Amino acid sequence: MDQDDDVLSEENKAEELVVAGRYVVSTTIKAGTLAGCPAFAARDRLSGSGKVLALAPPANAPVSASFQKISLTHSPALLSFDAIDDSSGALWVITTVSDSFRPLSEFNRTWSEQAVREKVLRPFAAVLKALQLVGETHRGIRPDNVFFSENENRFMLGPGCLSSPARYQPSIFEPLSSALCPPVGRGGGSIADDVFSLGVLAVYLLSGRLPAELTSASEETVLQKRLAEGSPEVLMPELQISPQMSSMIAAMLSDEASARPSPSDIADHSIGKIFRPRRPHVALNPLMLGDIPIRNIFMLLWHGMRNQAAFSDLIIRGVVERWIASELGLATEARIIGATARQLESVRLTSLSERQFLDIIRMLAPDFPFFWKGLWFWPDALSSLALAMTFHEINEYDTAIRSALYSSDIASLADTGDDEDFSRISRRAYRLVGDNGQNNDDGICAFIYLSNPLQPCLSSEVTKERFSSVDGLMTWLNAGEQRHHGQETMGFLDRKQVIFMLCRSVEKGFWQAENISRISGKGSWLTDLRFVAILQRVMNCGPLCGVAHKFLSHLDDELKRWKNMHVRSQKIEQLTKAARDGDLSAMSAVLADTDGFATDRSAFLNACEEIALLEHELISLEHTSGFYVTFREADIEQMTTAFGAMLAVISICVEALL
Amino acid sequence: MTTSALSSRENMIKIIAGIAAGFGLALYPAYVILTVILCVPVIIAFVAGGEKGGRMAWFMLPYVVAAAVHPFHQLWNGYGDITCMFSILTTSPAIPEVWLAAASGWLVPEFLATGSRIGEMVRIYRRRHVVTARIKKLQAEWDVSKPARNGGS
Repeated sequence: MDQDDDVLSEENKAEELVVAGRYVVSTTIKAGTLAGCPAFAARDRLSGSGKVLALAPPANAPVSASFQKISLTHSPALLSFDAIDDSSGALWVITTVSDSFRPLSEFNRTWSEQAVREKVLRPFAAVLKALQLVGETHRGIRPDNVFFSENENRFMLGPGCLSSPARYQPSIFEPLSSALCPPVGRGGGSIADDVFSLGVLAVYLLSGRLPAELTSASEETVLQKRLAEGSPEVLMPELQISPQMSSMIAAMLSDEASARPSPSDIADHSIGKIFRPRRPHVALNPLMLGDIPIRNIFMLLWHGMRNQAAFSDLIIRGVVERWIASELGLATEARIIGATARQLESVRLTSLSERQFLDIIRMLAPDFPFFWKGLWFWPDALSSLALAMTFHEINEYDTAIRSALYSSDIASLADTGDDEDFSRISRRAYRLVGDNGQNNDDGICAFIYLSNPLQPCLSSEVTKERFSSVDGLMTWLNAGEQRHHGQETMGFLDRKQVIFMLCRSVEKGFWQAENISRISGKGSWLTDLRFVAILQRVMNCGPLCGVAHKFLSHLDDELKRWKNMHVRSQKIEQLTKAARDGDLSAMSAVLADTDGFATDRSAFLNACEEIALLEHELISLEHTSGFYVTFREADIEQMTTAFGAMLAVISICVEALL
Repeated sequence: MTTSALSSRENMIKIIAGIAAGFGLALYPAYVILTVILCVPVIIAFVAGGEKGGRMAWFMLPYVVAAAVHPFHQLWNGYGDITCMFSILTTSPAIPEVWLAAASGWLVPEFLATGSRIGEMVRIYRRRHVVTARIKKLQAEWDVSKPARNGGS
């Protein structure tokens, strides 16, 4: 938490928001960040003690997917939330920090072994125990998220669920299994990962800082050192502490998750107990991968993935098989690798596939993250990775993330049978938007929304507003002025807004599958109208006059499909009336009259045909309008002769009679 | 029929007519002279009008016959006497009557042609009015996207 001495000043009172009916948030006064999450100054109407912070998780760094579950965990050493409110449409998290608490990173001192054991390890282990009980992790144990009060002589752990797991953790506070990954690719991990971070925190507190050679060197150098020598050796400096404490911290820093003590072990640790750390297998004779001497499995995998050609070559030549069997004593694994190598050799392939590499990693080091096209990640972090990709935060991994999201290999390996794991959610997401593996952004977008129920809408129009509920977005759409539509917006909503509303309403069980397939076409004003109309009905949004009027001015093209001017003017009247009532369903129904439309269409075609015929006739009449068509000459001659003959006969008769 | 054949046939007719006129003049001079005088327009048309004039002469013929019945009847009553013939020609308006009747052989077809043209124009005008009105009505009722012709006369 950054200390920010801004207080509510009179001139800034304009932008105030009341959260949970009690906290007044000044949305213009920033109060630094807490656990990586932007905070705004707030005050409590009912109580004046402590510094109230209103946390506003942004759209590109939302709260963790398990936020609601984790926020229910209470422990005296864990900073708790006073209120979580998204009734305004955006998520606001209110927390009160006593004035005396300051983050550890602001202190420049050491703490005694006893203080660390009693004030940090035990209470924090209790926090981890509570989290473990609900099957969650903290993943935010680092100096700037741990607070100390000199007055109360007490430590307090900041929240970890305000961002995706371990997103802001410095890599030395993370175990190897997580430090390999980019910060957004670390995933929820296990409670053993928190134990590791707690171990590093203990070292930090006991020595007052981190070893200089770690802070000055680059992250990658430190990582390579940890891979080669083991994290305890690299991260633990010489400390003047008891062997019991030292053994426990060394065990906490172990690279194998199963070798770390559980939170209960730490909480109940009696002073006399000594942990015996497991030493990982180290080869006496190194394997040369290129010009790098490899001495253990971790190095083999890390360097092997960085130089896949050389690694493939060593595997196919059987070098890796022989080396891990003889030097590391992994006979079974060696046999499997040998079988893979022989299989490749028989089809004359010179390199392994991504899937084969992944299988080798899963087999040799189950603690290691997944590796896919240059990216180390945990499958449960794919939604965070996809989100970072959407915001162009990790462009170098775009291809890897896209490929991993649609990879059936990853999906099958990541499927743990849990309904909330990556493969199940992604399948649901792709089905929802009709994405059949064409790597389109809709599927990824839906996957991000379904993975995190509190993920704000990703539309660039409303990222600032952070709408995490359909109501919020709808209210904004209803209230806002006529928006300027960018090129990507075909209709009223852009794709990200459509998918957001779709996912959020599907989560609440408002939809049937057939409804979804109908609206998942290309965005246009009409499909958007149908979509918003259904949402209005199923979510009981009430009259949406603003939305209706915005639609009204864009439905001309739709109205022009009705060709009968009388019917059209009737439709306009009906639409205007429905818009006045804010009834989008009625508007949609006016335009969706398929029978009427068919009648109109066929009558129109008849009329067109008639007009064409008439016009044709008109043209032909124009052409004959001169002295062209008259009696034929022969007719005239005949008539003339006949008339003359008749006259002659009459004349003779008259002459004869007189 | 070729032009030479046609002209030879016409020449033949003229020769036969000439011989017939000669015989007629010898036997019944009053009738022939009256016929020739009354048929002057027909003869002029036949001789000088070329092909068209020949056709015209045929049209004139029944009208001339119709008008010439009375003078010939008078001549018949006067026993074909040449004096009687001259008195018919001088005392009655036989010549202008017959010649006007011959003119009607030219006028009637012209009147027929002109009348038919005028009738046709009236019919076209009326029809165009009806069609234009119908098109306008349809265009007012239906949104015809392409710019429609206005028609009208």
